[in-house]
Amino acid sequence: MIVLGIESSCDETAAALVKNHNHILSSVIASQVDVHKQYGGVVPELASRMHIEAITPVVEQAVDQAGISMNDIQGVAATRGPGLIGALLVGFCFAKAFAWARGLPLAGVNHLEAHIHSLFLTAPAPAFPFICLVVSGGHTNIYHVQSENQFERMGQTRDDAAGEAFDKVSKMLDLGYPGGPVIEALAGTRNPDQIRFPRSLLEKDSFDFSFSGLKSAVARYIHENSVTSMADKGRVAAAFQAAVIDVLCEKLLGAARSKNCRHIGVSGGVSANQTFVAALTRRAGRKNIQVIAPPVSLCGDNAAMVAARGAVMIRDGQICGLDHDVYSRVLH
Amino acid sequence: MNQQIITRTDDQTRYLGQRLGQAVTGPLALALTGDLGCGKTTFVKGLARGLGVNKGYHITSPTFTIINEYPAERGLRLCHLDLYRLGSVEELACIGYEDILETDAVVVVEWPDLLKEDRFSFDLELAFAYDADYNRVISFFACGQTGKNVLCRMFS
Repeated sequence: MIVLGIESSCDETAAALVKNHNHILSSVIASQVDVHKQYGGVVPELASRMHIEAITPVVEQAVDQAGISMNDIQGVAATRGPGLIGALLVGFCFAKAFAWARGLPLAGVNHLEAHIHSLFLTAPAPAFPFICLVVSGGHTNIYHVQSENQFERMGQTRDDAAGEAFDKVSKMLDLGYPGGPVIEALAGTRNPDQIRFPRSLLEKDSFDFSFSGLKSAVARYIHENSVTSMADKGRVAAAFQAAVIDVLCEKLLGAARSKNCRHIGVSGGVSANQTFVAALTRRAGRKNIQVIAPPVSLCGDNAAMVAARGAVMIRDGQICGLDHDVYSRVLH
Repeated sequence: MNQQIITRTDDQTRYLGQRLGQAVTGPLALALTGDLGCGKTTFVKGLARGLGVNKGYHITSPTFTIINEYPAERGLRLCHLDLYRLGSVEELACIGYEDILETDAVVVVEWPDLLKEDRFSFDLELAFAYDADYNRVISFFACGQTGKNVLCRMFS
């Protein structure tokens, strides 16, 4: 079965075609496409109304690149939430209309479950049951994944997401946006122990996160010390990154221990941070736990993961009707 | 009517937000200013409790999502916005903020400068800063009768 996936939950308009749940035929992301050239104007990634301009060309390009025709598509999957309502509506309504017009089944995909499914597009995929961290600019959630359809959320952030902390510290250091790649590059191989920032581990039995205190500690350090040269900034970047990584590793290994899992998966934008993945792999290796991260192209928001999740939902009869709507967030 | 409060812990900041939430009786627009890490989101966590937002909701930072909405008591909704990532008034229009502000909402805006440029008028402005001991200094400015009434109830 070939499924068209559509993602528009935040600031990327993306479309992909996936065959048999796990084989990517094409994956197109608007920020990588010269849509604005074709349309004679810049497309600000952020704006939901701009998704409207991007969606049709992105879907057409995905079909082109897959080397198939529209008639070969057998199912449609679109992100239904959580995310920005106006942005979600564009992709989800497009998918509804597409599915209705062609008489195809439609899956309304949870964005976070799609990130988990990006691991099934990765070879080798983790074995059930496994622990999965979805970590990005908007989310930091730990799941116990028991099957393709069973995701038990064990923890989440209580304030800032990890990726957001990277962005904000980058802003404090005048390093620009997005913060993740800049901070990782600047931290490089610097010794992270020259500054000690707090690790907020919350309650011992909790798998929740809190990065707001770390953010304040970095602000305070910058305020009290002269942080002007790139070397100074590099020291702060390395120490900050180490604090985030420590907390993520600690909670993930704790979750794996509590659920007796031999595999840990990481997905979402921050899992593109190679320093994090390397540190987690090393620490997990000591406990005989294997770490799996998707290729960088599947870490950030993309539609291939949405198609992969949707294909499984369609196969298992979890179909959306035309009366289904998008949702901005999930009640915990 | 202006007020300045110093909070020494996160819990105190949260409690102050809760008191404001309890003093709200109808739609209200709040602007929160202050640097990263000054306690703005912490304050909103308390505000949400004061407005009766279900404890099942974690009040997380809206920096990434730009708008987080929560159903509250008294027929109100809490709309927590962060305009930090937006670059222009046009982008503001693109997120549909006019639709949001029309309804029965308590609208809290972090990094509100774009809205101010767009001549949007807030009922209350709260400025967050550190003092030398890293306590949070939170200043309340009422701009208009609605804001004054809320502050009167809150500090009476």
